[in-house]
Amino acid sequence: MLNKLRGAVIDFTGLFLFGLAMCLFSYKETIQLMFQLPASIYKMNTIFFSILIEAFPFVLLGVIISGLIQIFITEDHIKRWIPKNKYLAITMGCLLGAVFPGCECGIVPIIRRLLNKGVPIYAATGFMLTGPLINPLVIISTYIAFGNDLKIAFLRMGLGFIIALIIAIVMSLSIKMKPLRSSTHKKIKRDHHDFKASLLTKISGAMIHATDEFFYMVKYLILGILFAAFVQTYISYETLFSLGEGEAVATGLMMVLAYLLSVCSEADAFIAASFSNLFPISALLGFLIYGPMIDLKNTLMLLSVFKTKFVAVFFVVVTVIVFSVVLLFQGFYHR
Amino acid sequence: MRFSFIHAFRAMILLLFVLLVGDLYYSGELFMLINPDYQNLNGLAVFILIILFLVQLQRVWFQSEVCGHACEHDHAHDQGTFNIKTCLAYLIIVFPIFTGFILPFTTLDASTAANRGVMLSLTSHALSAQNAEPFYYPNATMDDNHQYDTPEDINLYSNMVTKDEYENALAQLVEQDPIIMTDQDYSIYYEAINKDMENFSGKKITLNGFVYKNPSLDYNQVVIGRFLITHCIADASYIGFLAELNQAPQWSEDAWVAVTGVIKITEYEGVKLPMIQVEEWEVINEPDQPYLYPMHITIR
Repeated sequence: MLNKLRGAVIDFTGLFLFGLAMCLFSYKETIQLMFQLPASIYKMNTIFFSILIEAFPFVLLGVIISGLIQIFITEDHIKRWIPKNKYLAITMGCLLGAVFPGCECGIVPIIRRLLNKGVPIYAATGFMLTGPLINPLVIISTYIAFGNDLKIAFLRMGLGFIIALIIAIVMSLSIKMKPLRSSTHKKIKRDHHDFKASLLTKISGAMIHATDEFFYMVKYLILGILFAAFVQTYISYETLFSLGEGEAVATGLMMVLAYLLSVCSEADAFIAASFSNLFPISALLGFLIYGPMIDLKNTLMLLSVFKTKFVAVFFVVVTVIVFSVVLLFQGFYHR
Repeated sequence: MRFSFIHAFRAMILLLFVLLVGDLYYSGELFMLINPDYQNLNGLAVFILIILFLVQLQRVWFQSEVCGHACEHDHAHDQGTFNIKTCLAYLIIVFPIFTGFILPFTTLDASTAANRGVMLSLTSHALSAQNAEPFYYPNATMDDNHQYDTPEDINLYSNMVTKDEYENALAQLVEQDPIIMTDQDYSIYYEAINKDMENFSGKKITLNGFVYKNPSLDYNQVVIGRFLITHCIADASYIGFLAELNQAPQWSEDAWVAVTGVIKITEYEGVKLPMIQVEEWEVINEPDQPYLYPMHITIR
């Protein structure tokens, strides 16, 4: 009886919320016409929305996968699957990331969950680096962007993989502290799950986790995108490139650009391609490899999961290694 | 049975996100933001949001005595405790709903093109002629007038062609005079003309685009071009041609024009660029679909 009543009340609440939302929406146009702001504000809002809409499916898939991991994968599974040897574990993390079709913002909730489940940080780092960088969508878009030429696409994958391995190893040697924020760490201890529950209960549990994860992550995503949209609206990259010339400078500038633009890894190849004849290959690879590993919008998401010190070290290590490896490659490429 | 305000609020946020994205889709405004090829991904996003909303709805009324599954997961912001940090977090989450609600979307214009380095992009595309191997033209495999099986306004939905259609379109380009830059062919023709400008020099060309002016150009020169969108407008790149005509100074920036002219080769800061010597022109309205999408070739 009580359950029936509860069901009816929930239905009613849903209908009420829906009605309220529809009411709000019917006033949309009237409100929009009521005032006029500077054109650049509208443009920034449009760019902000386009990145948000672009990122949403990936983030939502990320939180769903994260919820499923929370419910269906136990710490024992992880212990059994991950090799004891650190370097083997890193290689495995990188390989799994390469197979996994991720995006730099969708992968953060998954990483958070995996770390909570006891995946060692070095393996997770490898996974986080190759996940957005190496996947079929990225290969295809890079291939198309560079005039149906496989060279850049292959270099992006191959060199990117090697760089990810090096970064994961360096990180594992240089970081001794617990990387997670304490607030996220405490929480897992409370989540204790009955792994014998029915499938339906499990799935609904996973969805509840997904919802919580969504609300936890989305605010950082929004802030990050807001910064990126600001940069895209108000900063001209023609002035950025007037700063200097030369291989190292060009590579550095393209990496700065990749960081600031925060474009999804599925789509950044066309931007790189539009510079393909002005800059050396190291600058293009720097842009294509650095962007998926770290950018403005995902730095904020990383800060939500990891301690600030960890993110700072990660940022420096990724920047230095990507920069030096692509320049080194440029040296060999000339010969 | 108790009512949880915070859970009701969260359910409302999820619902508003669903409506916001759904509304974009039905009003067609979505295509001012992303490449239509990716609209299915957006359907997926809406689907997941609806599921999350339905799950969230179950948590609005909870039974206090049988504290079920849901309770354990209420971390950080528990029922009723509303501190500044939580408030700020929800303000950020509500922000896009708010701006999406009160601010209409605009089309990217010349100032965005300027930010993205129009002249850099033009010279970069033109430089490809110097260091690339000769451009490859496939042999025509279809009849004279290349036709797509798909409707003409295909660009509004997708820019998917078969390999045959693609090769045929390129093969046609060599014989075409005047060259007509349709929405569908624009990006591949643009690339071909830049790579092989000597071959196209002297041919007639018809295209439309919006006007971009740069102080480094001659007084009678402007750039006419459009944005190419890969995934979302944040990754838009500007592709356009230098155009020359005496009436250029009276054109206002951002105006959409349809021009017909002859392709010539000129030099800009030491780089050879294809340029259109405009013969006929008219000012037009902004097209329904102002953006271009890269051509995707289905592999068979």
